[in-house]
Amino acid sequence: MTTLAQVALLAGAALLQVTLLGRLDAPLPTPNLVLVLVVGRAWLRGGGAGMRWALAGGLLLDLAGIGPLGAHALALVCAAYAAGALAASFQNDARVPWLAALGGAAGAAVYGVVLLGLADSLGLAQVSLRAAVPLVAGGVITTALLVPITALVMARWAGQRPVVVHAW
Amino acid sequence: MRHGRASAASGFFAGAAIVLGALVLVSQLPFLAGARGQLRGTLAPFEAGATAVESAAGQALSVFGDIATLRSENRRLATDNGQLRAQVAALQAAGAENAQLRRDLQFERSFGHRLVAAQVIGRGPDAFTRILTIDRGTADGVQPGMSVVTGAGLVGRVREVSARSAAVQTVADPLVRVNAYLVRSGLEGTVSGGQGPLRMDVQARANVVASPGEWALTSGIGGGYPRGIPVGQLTRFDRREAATVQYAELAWANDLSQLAAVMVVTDFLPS
Repeated sequence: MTTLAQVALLAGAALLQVTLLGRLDAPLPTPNLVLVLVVGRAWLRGGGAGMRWALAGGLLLDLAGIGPLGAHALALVCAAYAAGALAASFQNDARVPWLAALGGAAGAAVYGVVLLGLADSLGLAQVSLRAAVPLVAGGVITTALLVPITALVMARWAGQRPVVVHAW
Repeated sequence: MRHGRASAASGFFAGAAIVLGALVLVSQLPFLAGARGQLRGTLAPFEAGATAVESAAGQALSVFGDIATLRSENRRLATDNGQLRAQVAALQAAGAENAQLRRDLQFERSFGHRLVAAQVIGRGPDAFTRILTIDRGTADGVQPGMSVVTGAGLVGRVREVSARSAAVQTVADPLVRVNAYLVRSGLEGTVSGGQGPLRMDVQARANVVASPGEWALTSGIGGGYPRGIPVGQLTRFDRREAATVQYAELAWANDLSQLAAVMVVTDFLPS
């Protein structure tokens, strides 16, 4: 995939996130498309590649949100690092496509904890555990469901077998 | 080799974390709020474009939805054509919009504050923040802190502004607190957002009980919002003996997923 295509994909995901997905009234929490793409990338291509997408996608989300710039980017970089590290530990495992759900869950948990932790530590909000747990858990479920499918599609698109690339 | 790659990724992570951490700290400095808002405004035209495309696609889908719903009726009404169905769908959409505009106009007359109408062009990027992006900014007199309402009630407050757009933190945002009172019982409390219904921590008073169906209005205490704007309707009230704070749930007066147009109260700023 060319650099331009990667930027277009992330920009498209970020725009979809802040327009269409915000209007969905689904029973599960709305997934974060950029997070799903970043974790999928980290799972397939390693933490380094995932973190590069995290930087670009996170800064786009920061422009669409409120509060300090860089918060989403930082949370996504942490998520990509965690997913990449987890993917590396499952190298050559035949169940890798389905274990991507594990990477999605770990990435979403790290992303949620970092974002809420930043808001709390910067004094932007007093985040209670009671409010934080359902928010993070919702993100973990939707991301864990979507990452394996995304990783399979991304692997097919790149013409690869859906296994971890040794790029960690 | 693998160890080297892991070290490179860890190094990249450490570097990115330090740079982004510094960006987070620097960008929240008060004197950079204006620049931050202007930078965010660069995304607004793309959001407006994407919202317009989404709206057009939604209208097209509504025509297909009508076709599916009316399939059985279509057997009887064989003379109906696609153009008529499209017209019906368009009229339905216009009717709903007219009803909302009429309600908003009535609200503006009775509200007694100066209002600026705005279109919703974007929403929050994650589940942790419930925000809206609107197509009005400093060029239209919108400033941070101004309240945002619809004919149905309170939407939230403007957080950041650029020349032509603004970010509104809604009442449903888990990080927002609104001081409110219940109209029948007179009990006061603080409303907060989050997943599901709004939560209200009610200050208990001896022998006073709130009942479902009561409306919660902004109390004006703290000077954050004008007094008397509907926030939500009480759906649940847990009375606990000897507790100083009672727990209540509210159905928000607005539906975040349905909000397409809002109004900014331009003659009231938080004290």
